[in-house]
Amino acid sequence: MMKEIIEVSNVYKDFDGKRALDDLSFSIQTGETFGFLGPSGSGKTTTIKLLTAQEGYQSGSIQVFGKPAEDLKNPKQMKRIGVLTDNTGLYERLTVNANLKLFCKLYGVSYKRIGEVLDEVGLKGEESKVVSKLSKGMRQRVTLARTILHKPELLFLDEPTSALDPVSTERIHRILRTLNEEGTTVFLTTHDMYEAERICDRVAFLNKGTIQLQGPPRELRVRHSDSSITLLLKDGREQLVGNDHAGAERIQEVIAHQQLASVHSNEPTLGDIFARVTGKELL
Amino acid sequence: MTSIRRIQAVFIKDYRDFLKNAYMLSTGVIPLFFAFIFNQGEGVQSEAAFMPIVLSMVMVGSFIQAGVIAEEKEKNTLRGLLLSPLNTAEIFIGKSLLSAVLSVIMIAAVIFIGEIPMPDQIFLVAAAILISLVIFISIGTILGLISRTVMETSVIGIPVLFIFGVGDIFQTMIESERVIQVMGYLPDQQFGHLLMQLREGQSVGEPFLVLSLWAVVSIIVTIFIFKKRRFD
Repeated sequence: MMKEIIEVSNVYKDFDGKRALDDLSFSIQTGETFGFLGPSGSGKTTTIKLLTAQEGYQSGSIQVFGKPAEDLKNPKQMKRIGVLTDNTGLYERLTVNANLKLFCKLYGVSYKRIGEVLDEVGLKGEESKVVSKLSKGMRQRVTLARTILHKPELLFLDEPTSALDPVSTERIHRILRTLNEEGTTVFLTTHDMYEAERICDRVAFLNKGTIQLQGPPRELRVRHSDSSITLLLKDGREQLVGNDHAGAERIQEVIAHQQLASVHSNEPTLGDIFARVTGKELL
Repeated sequence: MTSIRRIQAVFIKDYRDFLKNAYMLSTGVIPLFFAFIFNQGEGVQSEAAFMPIVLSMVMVGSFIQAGVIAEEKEKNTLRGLLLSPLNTAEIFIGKSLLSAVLSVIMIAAVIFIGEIPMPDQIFLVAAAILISLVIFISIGTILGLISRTVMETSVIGIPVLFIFGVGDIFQTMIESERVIQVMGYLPDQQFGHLLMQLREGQSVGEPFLVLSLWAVVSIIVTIFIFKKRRFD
């Protein structure tokens, strides 16, 4: 049976008198990949900071592993999580190997694990490269390798593919899916709705520090679908039909006349839903 | 519980990084030039004789420490350490070891190069250096924590260099007795008094007490600022 690994209840957070998080409540089940979607400044990074005990909050409650988030300051608890922040945080003058060796020592992990994680992130053979010589995508993968070095149960990823090229992004998505299949719970923030649709079991839309909507991506799309269907005809024209008896008859007719090129259900993207719910674009 | 393994890991990382950091390396050898210059002049029989030692502690203990801490913040790597199993004591000790070891090496080098006449009471001298290092490394940590970049530490650090490093030179330009009296309680001055009094066979209880107070206060201030500034 799935149990809650993170439970956030009615959390308020202010910065210099300005409200950053407003009555935030959500929970994450063990083994889930949960995406926090929102535009820049919506409170995504602040939420990660609260969940990982980097920041305090005004009121409410945050439980991680069934204990107050503050307990993560205890090194034993800290070993159960991995945090990838919004920039690399690597020692640029040192090699990939030296960077990872430091964290092997800090976490009490064998150096053998370096080869394993570099293999997982597709960087085997790059151990001796100096970090400053690596591309942005490779650095991000080294950071991810460092984050999963100690096999954390719970991963916090703040915009893990922000500003990466599509190949690096795809590779990181693949790694995250594999980690999740192996049982790691993933909490990630993103403003990339495509990323959220591809890898998240559930998402929450955050706007101005408040969760506007949450649920599985497919369910949200169906819930916000207008039920219309677009027919693309062979002559290049598009026709919109309803998801009803009349629509079915029209589709049958087009097929009978061999005019049909393709059929598309008009489910909105998560970006469309976000814009509809908040009146804002996910940028 | 404090782990030697984790402290050692941070120290080894800092050492490797230091060897590839031209700015830090050049800052680290500055006291040697002062020691060399000092040795060219005639022997100084006042507290000023120990100025190269104090300068080593300021340049290496404070400036290198400030640079090491500021760079961790600037490159966002301190966050990585804070989100690892390292506890606060391990971070402080681990991040201070490099500056401490380099300072000790540099102090030995300037004593040798500058032919500084040291008191015979080695253990008391070592204790004075150790306490002073705690003060200067703490000051360096504070500088590093309040600076946004490594370059900023040089700017913010200049007053520290003037006040704690070459206070002797400035003292000759100050007329106010009260200011001179207050300056006399600065750690560099107390360190000088202590070594001078040791050399002359006088009691060193007061300078030891003042230095110890400085050490305690600087550690408390460092911890306070660390708690406030560590994540930004």
